[in-house]
Formats: sequence, C-alpha cells, structure tokens
Amino acid sequence: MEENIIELFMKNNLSTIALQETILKTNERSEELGLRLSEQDAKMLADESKASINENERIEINSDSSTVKIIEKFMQSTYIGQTDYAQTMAGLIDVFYVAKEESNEFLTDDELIDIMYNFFERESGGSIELLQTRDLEILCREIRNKLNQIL
Amino acid sequence: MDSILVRLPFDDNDINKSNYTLSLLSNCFSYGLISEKKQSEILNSLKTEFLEIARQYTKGESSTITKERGEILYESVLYSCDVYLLSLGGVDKALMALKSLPTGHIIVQGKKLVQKYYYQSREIYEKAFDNILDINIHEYMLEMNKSFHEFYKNYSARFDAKNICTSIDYPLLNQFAYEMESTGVCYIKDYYTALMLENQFCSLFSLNDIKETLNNYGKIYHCNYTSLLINICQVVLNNFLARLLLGKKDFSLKLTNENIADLEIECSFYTSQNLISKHNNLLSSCNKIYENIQMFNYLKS
Repeated sequence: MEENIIELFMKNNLSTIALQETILKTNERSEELGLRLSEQDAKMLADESKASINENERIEINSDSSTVKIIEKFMQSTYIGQTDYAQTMAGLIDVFYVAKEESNEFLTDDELIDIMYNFFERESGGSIELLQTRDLEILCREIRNKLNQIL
Repeated sequence: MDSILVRLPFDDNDINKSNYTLSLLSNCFSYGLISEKKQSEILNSLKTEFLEIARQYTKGESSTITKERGEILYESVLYSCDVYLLSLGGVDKALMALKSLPTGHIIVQGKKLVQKYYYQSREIYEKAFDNILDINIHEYMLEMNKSFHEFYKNYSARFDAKNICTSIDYPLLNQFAYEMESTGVCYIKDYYTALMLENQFCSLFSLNDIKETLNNYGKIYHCNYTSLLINICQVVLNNFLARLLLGKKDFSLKLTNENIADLEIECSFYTSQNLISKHNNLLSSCNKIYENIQMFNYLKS
C-alpha cells in the first residue's frame, strides 16, 4: 500500500476508449473542412496521448482532454491535409506536452495551444520540427528566464 | 472495541507517524483487517479528493499536472487524514475510525483540524516570543524572529501540506530539529510549543547568569558560544540540575570548581537510571517548575 499511489494512478486513470470516442466526435466538425479520422487513427491518437503523458511524467486530472482541444484547433490549419492529418496531430500532441514541461507550467492548456497554432501557421510554416526545436524553444526559454528573475 | 484491542497484531510503534494513514492502511491490508470493499472505498475517496485538489490547483486551466506536483498534492490529501487519525490518540481508535467512518468525513475533519492547528501555532509562537531570550545564537534568533513568520505567510495546507516553507535548525532539548516525527503544521506547533516551554524555563533565571554560563560553555570548545549550534535550555538545565543535586535550590546557575568536584563525588553514588529519577524528583520539588505541569513534563522527558 505504501508503494507510490501516483504510479498506480498513472497506470489506471487514462481511459483510452473514452478518449477515442471523443476524438472521433471531432469528425462532426472536421468533415466540413475535408478532414476525417478513422477509428484506427483515433486509437493511435489516444494511445499517443497516453504515451506522451507518461513519457513526460504527467498525470491526467480531468477528462477535458488537451488532445481533443489540439485536434479542434489545428483542424483549421492551412498546412494540414487529409493525407497527413492523423500523423500531424500525433506530432502536435507530443510537442504540446513537451512545451508544457519546458514552460514550467506557466501557460494554461488553452494558451499553449493558441500559441502553438499561431507559431505553426506563421513562423513555423507548418513544420512541427521548427515549431518544437526553434519557435517554442525560444518562447519557453523566455518564460523560464522571466520566471527566474521573478523568483 | 475490546476485541480489536486484544487482536491487533501491531501497535503505535509500528506505524510511521510522518506517513500515518498510508502506513496504517498498509498494516491493515497485510493483516486482512480491512475488507476489499472498504479498501476500494478508501482509495476512491482519496482519488476523488485528489482530483478536486488538482483541479483547484490548476484553476481548471490544465488537464494534466506533473507527477512531482501530483505527489505533493496527494500527500496533502493524506495529510488531512493523518492529522485526524493521529488526533484520536491511538492506533486502535484510528483503525476503528478508518473502518467505520466514510473517508470523505475523515478528510473533512482533518482539514478542520489542520486549520485549527494553523491558528493555534500562532498563539503558541506569541507565547514563546513573550519570553524570548536576548541571546545572540544565530539559529535561535532566526527561529524566534523570522522562521515562524515565513511559515505563517507561505504555508499551504491545501496544496503542499507537508512543506513548512521555512528552515528550522535550532535544536531543542535532547532533540535535533530534524529528528521530530511530525510534519507540516503539526511540526510547527510541536516545535514552537517546545520553544515556548524552554523560554518559560529559562526566563526563571537571570539573563546575565545564562550568558555567563554559555560563555563558560563556549570556553570548553575554545570559541564564542554564539557560533555554536547549541540548545540554550539544555545548558541552563544542566547547571540547574547540578546545583539541585548539590542541595542548592535557588535559581542561580553558578558552579565553582569546588562545586564540580563535589558533583563528581555525588554522581558516583548513582547509576545513570537512578540519576535520571533523582533529577526528576529534584525538579518536582521546585514549585515554580512543578506548578507549570506542561513545562515540568517537557523538562523531565
């Protein structure tokens, strides 16, 4: 019993089936934009979300998943088409949780997703690699510096 | 209740007081004292409370938190349970409460106690401060003038209950500050209660006497006593008890070389256990000390 309850929590909390269903519901809106996720895609994204949360040593605390928010925001992107829709979302989910960590939790989920989207559409030119390794990196470094000055 | 007392396979000493609830639950599960259904209820209640606290922590603006933060928040939930169960005064009563009360109720009662102790700690600190000794030992002055205020201003029972938000180094009578078992607000309450009693005891003596005694103590170590991490009350009590043993019942601290030689002879008649009993008897013969039962019990422990 004195084993780390948080480890148990991390193993059991994420209900990927529920997340898959919520991910599939995003098709109601994305289909208007010519984008659609299959059941396989939804499973892949739900698994990717869980893996990313675990890899970044995080715990999910409510069912209002960032994954769904990312999909709903980025489906509007001019750089994403049907052929790379699922894979791009998977990449963005990973970037999101890394950036969350790198920004010292300073940004809310919505703020971070908005910033990611704006960078993706402008400075990063639709490149996930540039988004993560350059544009977000600069932002997160500035945030950490500002926080260090305050503390 | 009697049947639990007879059959309990562990006692208070087997339970880790700085992690009371989990330690108690672990023992209970090992010995099958709590059903699986109740076990499930307890864990679900703790999880529900944890998720609520985490939601409050993030103000609902983040769907995830770091594992590290999660552990701190979860410990804060458990801390409420710890405080309540410890307040019941025994592992048998704590076990009865765990088995018979809803865990949500234990958490709520624990939170109320934590808040009560938080305000009580201030009253205790102010009583300790009323008798502050004008003695320039750095850690003593720090604990009396700064540490408590840092705790009181920054402590968060909801989000980081075990963190006292300050550094406490000044040792207590017969105990280093880090050796205390209690944590969080209970640690502060216990620590400043001890300081309050030590200050009350020391205030029975003249400040000049105390400073002279500390000076002499420093000479033993070839340095100024202000640079030593020592407990003032310990030094005062040692000299006071030595004088009592020599039949000197006034509240002076002076010991001459002759006194020390007489003391060596006097002590040779006692075993260490007998000497402790003798000291306690001598303390109880001093009305000024014995009248303050809390102080008396603290000094003789």
